[in-house]
Amino acid sequence: MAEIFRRHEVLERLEGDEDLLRELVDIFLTQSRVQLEELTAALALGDAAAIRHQAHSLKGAAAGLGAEALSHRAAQLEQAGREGDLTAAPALLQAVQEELQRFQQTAAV
Amino acid sequence: MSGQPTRVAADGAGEGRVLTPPCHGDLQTAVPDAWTVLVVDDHPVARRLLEAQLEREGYLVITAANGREALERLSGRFCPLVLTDWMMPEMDGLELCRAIRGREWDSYIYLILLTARDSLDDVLMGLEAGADDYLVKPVHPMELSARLRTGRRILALERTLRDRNREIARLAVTDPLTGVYNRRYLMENLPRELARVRRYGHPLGLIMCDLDHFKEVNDTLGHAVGDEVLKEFTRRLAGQVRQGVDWLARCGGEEFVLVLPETDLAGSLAVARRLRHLVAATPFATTAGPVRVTASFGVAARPPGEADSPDAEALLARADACLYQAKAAGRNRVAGPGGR
Ligand SMILES: [Mg+2]
Repeated sequence: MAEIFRRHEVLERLEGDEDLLRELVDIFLTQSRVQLEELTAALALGDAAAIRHQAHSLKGAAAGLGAEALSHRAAQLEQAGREGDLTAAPALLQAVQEELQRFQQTAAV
Repeated sequence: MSGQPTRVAADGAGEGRVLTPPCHGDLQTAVPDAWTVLVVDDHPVARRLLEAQLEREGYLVITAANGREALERLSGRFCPLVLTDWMMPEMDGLELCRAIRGREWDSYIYLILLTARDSLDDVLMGLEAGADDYLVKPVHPMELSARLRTGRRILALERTLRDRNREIARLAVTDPLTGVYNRRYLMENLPRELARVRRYGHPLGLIMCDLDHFKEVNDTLGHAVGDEVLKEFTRRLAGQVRQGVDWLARCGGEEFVLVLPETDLAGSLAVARRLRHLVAATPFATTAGPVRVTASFGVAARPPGEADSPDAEALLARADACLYQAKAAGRNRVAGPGGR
């Protein structure tokens, strides 16, 4: 089962630097809001390549921050973009959005 | 003269200036041993994360958001270590690798490609594009520092090798006793120098000089003192030439050639007269006490324009003939074409 926030693991990689973790989460949330807007727009246009790129970027950054569940969801969306089959994309994007919410709430604690 | 040829070849052939190590730019004086890493990633979290990890290890970090930006950063400030993401807008990591490999840099750039765990198939393509190594995201700090250590080791090796090659190339064109260029350099470089001035219709002066009665110095005071005289002679000559323009070569024994690009006959004669005076006016200090030395000078020049365009051999022969005249006329004098 994918975890929402592997905080401990990330903190270990950051050598316990809580300030840096907070800074990274802030940057991530700001960037993710932009990326979700981009994804929504790309979906409206049926632009599979753009979906793939945005989702890939989100996936990587989420993994870097220990947002495991979110990273998995973004990977599924990336996969849909890569295959050019966007039928499941609205549901996947919805799932990404929800997972991001969950991460935000968990990380804020 | 301090044991260096008086001139560094502008075209980088043979002789080369000693480059400062690429990772020790002026901005880095605060951390003398730091290496600069260029981090390229389109995601601000990835950039900040890598930056923090690297800075903790003592690296200096610059960042770029895509390949195009990375190339701009590199042109502004050379960076021997590059850590690049693959998927980026505008110019991706693969294109960046190719672009970096397609250009000449101060020294080798060690490229590490960052890739997602599920993109490992792409790694081969990345290595073919010129990456030296790859790392899977998210990057663990220990792995990152180990890979960068490898990179530094390779860069250090490459630098040693390059410095050594440069030194070998320098020695191959240097006269070991006096530190000025040798005959080989003269014969290789004078034609090149002439071709260059011919292209622009510019003049070039050539002074051939020879110490007078040098054999007597060797015979009466010994070869060690003879060597001291040769060194002092070169020092006096070299002190009078324009740094980075004129150059001096020892062609054998006590014979030297001074090449004066962009200098016409009148100018070259003036230089030769000054040199003659400089040699004759003050005795040379040696371990055997002061030694009076004189020298004879033969001057030739390629005039400006196209009318008279001698090749290296012809110009050397003209100067040599004048030198012979100077010797025949009693030594310690300057002779130019037409007995001037
Ligand atoms: Mg990326």
